[in-house]
Amino acid sequence: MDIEKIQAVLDDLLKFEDVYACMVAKQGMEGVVPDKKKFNPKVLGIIETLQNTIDNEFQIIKQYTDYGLEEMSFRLQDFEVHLYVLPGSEIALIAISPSQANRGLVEVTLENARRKLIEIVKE
Amino acid sequence: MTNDSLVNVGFSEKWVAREAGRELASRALAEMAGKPKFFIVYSTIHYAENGGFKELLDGIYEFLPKDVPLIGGTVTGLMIPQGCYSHGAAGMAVSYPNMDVSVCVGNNIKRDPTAAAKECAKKIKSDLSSSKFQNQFIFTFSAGTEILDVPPVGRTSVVRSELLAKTIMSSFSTSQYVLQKGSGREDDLLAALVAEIPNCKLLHGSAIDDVKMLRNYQFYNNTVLTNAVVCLGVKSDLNTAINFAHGAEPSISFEITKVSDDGRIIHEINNKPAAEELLRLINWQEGFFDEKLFTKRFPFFPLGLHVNGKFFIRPFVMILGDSILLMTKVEKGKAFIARINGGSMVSSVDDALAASKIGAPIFGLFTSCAIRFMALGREIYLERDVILKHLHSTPFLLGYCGGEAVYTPELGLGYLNESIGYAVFGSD
Repeated sequence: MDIEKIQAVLDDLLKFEDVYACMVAKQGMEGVVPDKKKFNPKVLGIIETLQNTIDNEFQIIKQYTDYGLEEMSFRLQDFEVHLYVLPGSEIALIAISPSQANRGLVEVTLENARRKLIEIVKE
Repeated sequence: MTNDSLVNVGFSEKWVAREAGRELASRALAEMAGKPKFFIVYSTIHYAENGGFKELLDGIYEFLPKDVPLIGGTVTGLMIPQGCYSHGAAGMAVSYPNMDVSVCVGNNIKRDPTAAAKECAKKIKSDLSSSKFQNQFIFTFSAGTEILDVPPVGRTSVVRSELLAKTIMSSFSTSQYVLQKGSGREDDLLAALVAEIPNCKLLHGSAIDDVKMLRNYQFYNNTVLTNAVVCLGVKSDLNTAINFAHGAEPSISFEITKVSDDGRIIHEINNKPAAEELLRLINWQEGFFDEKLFTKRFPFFPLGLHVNGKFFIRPFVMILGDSILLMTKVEKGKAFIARINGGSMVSSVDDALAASKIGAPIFGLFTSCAIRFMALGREIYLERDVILKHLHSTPFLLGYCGGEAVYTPELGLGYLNESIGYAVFGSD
């Protein structure tokens, strides 16, 4: 994995006003996390918890991989956590947006980032 | 000469406006056989904060010859053969030789759309009067509806206080005619335009932002405009397939029994206060009238109307006390709550394109509603797959707009919302 390229994709994502935080997580690994100063301070606690629990989430994801799990999202307080799994891998793009955000626009933004990450991981 | 050299689409995701303009233009012009006859640009709203749209256009004209006319404006998102984007700018360069072109602009469309339409029609007719080509096509792109950001209410979908709602509604007239903030009045604009040039085929899109509906811009060469319509008139030997699709079906029927003078606010449904009656018809609780209403609920329950034998849908925009604000005019009479979902949105595009006989397509121009982009989310790629299935390697440009319309002498004028309209040009 080209960490610099992944970092660039994540930095680009953070330019969208409704992407408050994002990271690429890999099971059992630290993953790629942008400079947290670029995150919206409101979600720093959530992102820390996600980082700490990501291995547990991958356990759940694994159970559903055979059924074609691509995406999970859940609401925490006033935020929505999106988890996009890269196909055939134990890598996921994780992003947090405000729950009142225009979800369709956020989804297209994250989908394009996911597609770029798939290309990077393939290289 | 290949199709790609006659028509090409360039795109940029760069955040800095000037750089994006340069990149998209250099990509669009990279394989062109000759100087383009015209250039169409769709851009998301983000460049307003990243250098400004003038910089975007100046960046384009660093590569595009200065005498090539350009029109376009802001959209919520865009689709090109390469992908679907909620951020970026795309441009289509067309250098087809058997073609004459006119571009023009009409101003103050929210105050007097008829005058703007007549001004544009006059220019197009004059410019193209000596053309030896018979097939006339007009593409219009105009300022879409903007909603006032009224303190302390802000940009909201629901104002249930009757007092506040009445204050807002009474400000609409001042807002529309003095500030030119309000309805895009595309229905009036286009009716006046096609009345002047009835033998044309037409595709329309309305400018919008990221669906906040607070601002939008139109592009005319290297000038950035507001409250304007920009028009491209073309006479050529190309055949043009024009059609639209939405995927909605009538579901629950009712009567619109009282509307505002301008037809854009429904006050009563079935002789009862409109908002209350809407809740009853859909079997919703009052709690559904919240801030998710416009972005997450209304897209799937639009208002449906039969006009001249065709079924059209109109999104509910805002609850104002017991009234409901729309983007377009409606009349009293029979209407429906329409039923629509992501699957029917996508399959309707498949059906419409399959029904259009497009011989040897050279390029396609699409305008679709931003609400579809918002409602489909990442599934928007399914819509792209359908378009690619029909157009194969034909270059196309699709903008997700604040309103769209099609016109042919056979179809009549179809002002659309939550739909997709297209013009596909072929040489056969």
